[in-house]
Amino acid sequence: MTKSNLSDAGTAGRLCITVPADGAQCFFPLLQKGFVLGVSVGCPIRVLLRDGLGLTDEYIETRLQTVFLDGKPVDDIDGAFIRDGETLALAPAMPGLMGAMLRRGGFYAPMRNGITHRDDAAPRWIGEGRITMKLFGMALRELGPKLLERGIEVDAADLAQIVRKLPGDRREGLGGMEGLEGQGRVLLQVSVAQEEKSD
Amino acid sequence: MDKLLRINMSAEGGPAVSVIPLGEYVGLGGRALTSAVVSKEVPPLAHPLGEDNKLVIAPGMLSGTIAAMSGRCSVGGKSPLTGGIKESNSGGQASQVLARLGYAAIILEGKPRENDLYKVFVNKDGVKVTRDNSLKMLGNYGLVEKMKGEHGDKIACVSIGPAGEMKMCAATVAFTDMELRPTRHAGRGGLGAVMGSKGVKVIVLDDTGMSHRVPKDVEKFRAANKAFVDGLRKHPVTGEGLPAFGTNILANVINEAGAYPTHNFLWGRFVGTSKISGETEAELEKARGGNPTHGCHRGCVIRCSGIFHDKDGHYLTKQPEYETVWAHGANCGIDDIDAIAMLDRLDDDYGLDTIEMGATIGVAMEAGIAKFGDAQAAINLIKEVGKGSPLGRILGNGAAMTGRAYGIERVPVVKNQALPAYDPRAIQGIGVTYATSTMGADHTAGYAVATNILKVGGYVDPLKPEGQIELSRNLQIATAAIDSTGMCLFIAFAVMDQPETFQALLDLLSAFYGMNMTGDDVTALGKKVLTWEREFNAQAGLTKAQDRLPEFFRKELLPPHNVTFQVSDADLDRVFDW
Repeated sequence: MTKSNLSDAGTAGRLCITVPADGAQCFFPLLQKGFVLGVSVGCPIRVLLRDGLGLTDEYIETRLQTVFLDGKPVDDIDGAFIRDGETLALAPAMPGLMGAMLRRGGFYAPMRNGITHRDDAAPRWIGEGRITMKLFGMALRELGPKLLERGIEVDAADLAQIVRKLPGDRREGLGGMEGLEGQGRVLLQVSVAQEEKSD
Repeated sequence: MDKLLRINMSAEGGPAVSVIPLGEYVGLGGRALTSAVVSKEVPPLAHPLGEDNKLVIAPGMLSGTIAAMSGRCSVGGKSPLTGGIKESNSGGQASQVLARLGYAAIILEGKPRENDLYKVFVNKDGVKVTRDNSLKMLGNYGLVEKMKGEHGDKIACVSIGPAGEMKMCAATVAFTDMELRPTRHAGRGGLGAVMGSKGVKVIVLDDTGMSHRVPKDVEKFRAANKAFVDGLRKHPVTGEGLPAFGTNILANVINEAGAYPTHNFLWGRFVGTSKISGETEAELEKARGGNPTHGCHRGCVIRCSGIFHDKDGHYLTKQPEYETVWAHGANCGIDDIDAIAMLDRLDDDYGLDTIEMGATIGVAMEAGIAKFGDAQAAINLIKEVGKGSPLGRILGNGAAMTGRAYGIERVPVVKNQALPAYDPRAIQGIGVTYATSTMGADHTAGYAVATNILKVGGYVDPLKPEGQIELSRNLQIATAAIDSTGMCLFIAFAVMDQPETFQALLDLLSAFYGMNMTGDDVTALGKKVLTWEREFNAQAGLTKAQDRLPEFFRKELLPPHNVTFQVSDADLDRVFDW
């Protein structure tokens, strides 16, 4: 870590960290376990991904082949609406027969019929809300750094555990972590340091 | 690959070697060959550890060629765990080496009269069987080091650890990898115990002076191989996900689906999954100087294996794969990846099936022998197995034996074989395969190729209620065929999505054998193999009454989705109606 800033952010503490180019990966377990994002809710998943997260249609179609809403595999991201407080998990195509079964709209989807997300009517309320998001596989590497830079809410104890395991030189300036542990949640912002150019 | 090597361990004066033509087995390889030999030559009621059982080690139809991914080796026999026919296959170097030496199979027969151990050495000049009791109770790692000292490092080894010598039902047959480490295993069904019963500790293979097998149509074969490799490389699963994270990339998504068996199949989600996932594992391996992208045999282009270093940066084991991390991890409530890697190392050294042992320790934890989440206790239990203590003997014979010994009802087995890492209550379709496979609960039994590419049994409408039965049937047929080629099952993802890659696979087979192979031929082969296996099992006493999941899957709700297994017995009984 090159620098950090710990300050009061109301209900959640805030930790802003600048890391070297390969430094963001150490926070990836937080992205797998789940983090909270403030987003527009009441819209189809595709709209959230495109308008809320800025992903292209091509990326959504080709890369996000496995989508869960509250733990249920989603086949139609245009027909599944996201609501306040729900959990959205994103992953690419996954290996194995199980991976094929979980893929959205895949041929083997009927083999997990019992847990499939059923399309529902559009919610009445559309507005700002908070969802839990999880990223797996290549989606973690491809979307993780951008979301970390934007800022995500994470469990403070989980974050403290990760920071404690960092090598000594990367913990510099993070001495205030003890204060965070009692807070429940922390707004974490991670930016990547620009390399200094030499003439 | 036009000859069989038979070694009769019962012969007067010591083991007798005969090298004979393939005869009625011409054109078969891998699982097709092992199941053909076992079904035709082993009395179904034979004791699995008796002289009438046979252990068949067979490279696949394309092993020993330059075809990518063709290094799987099948091991077959009557299983001491299931009581039925068994084929278990492994990666590693042996399949290619054995095929280049010209052998379609090694068949171990009979049983030594004394309690001696033997080493078999095979090279281009012939076969030598030597009594060597100095090998007794060596772990696979120590054994392979000893073989390196005796035969150099240009060898491949097929061996058993102490578990095989003790004839435990969870014992594996180990295969060395590219680094000559015993990290790949024909793990399921206790075939290591059958090898132990034959008194064979290790088969050392040296193909020095031999070359690749030559196809009938060299140019067509080369072109097909290029198309096949291109297809694997461009697919997001075989070209990206598996090389980057290994098979354990599945942990997070299966957990999210609520199908990740936790605490001996009590729940479908494990709170510690992000600590043991493939994504976390890969980052840790890179940080410690290991490698998350590594093949298990030469010619592998997917490279889903890896090298796991300990905290000090020293080699500990190969990258523990998905089933292993689940079995020793979530299923036992353990979220310590270093402890799981140690358990993997111990399993490989003792020669134990990681799935069976993880399930067994889960049952033992439910019995109160150790607490869920206690990683050190799990390590100690595996060491008991390695020592062969009375407790270790119970554990080493698997989850079913342990459940009976301790009076536990929730024992996740079919035909006595432990279930792999997918809960059939959340994913009903895989439960159909677990229940009806000829092999006992086996996730790879119905794993392979898109049915509507193969047109197995005609087009299946997956939206019909009977779709799951038909899909499971067709997947089992396709898998039996793929297992016969020597191809790694992981090719299935690219073959499934890309018809041109499936065609390239057919072209490889056609060009090598000088024929015109179609999807119908693949289907016919798969059906033939399954028919042999089912007939053997029926005569061995395994009928539709054993094609069932344990009762608790129908009675106990699985959180978070709170579902039970719903497929009716009548539907299960229709799986093999073709």
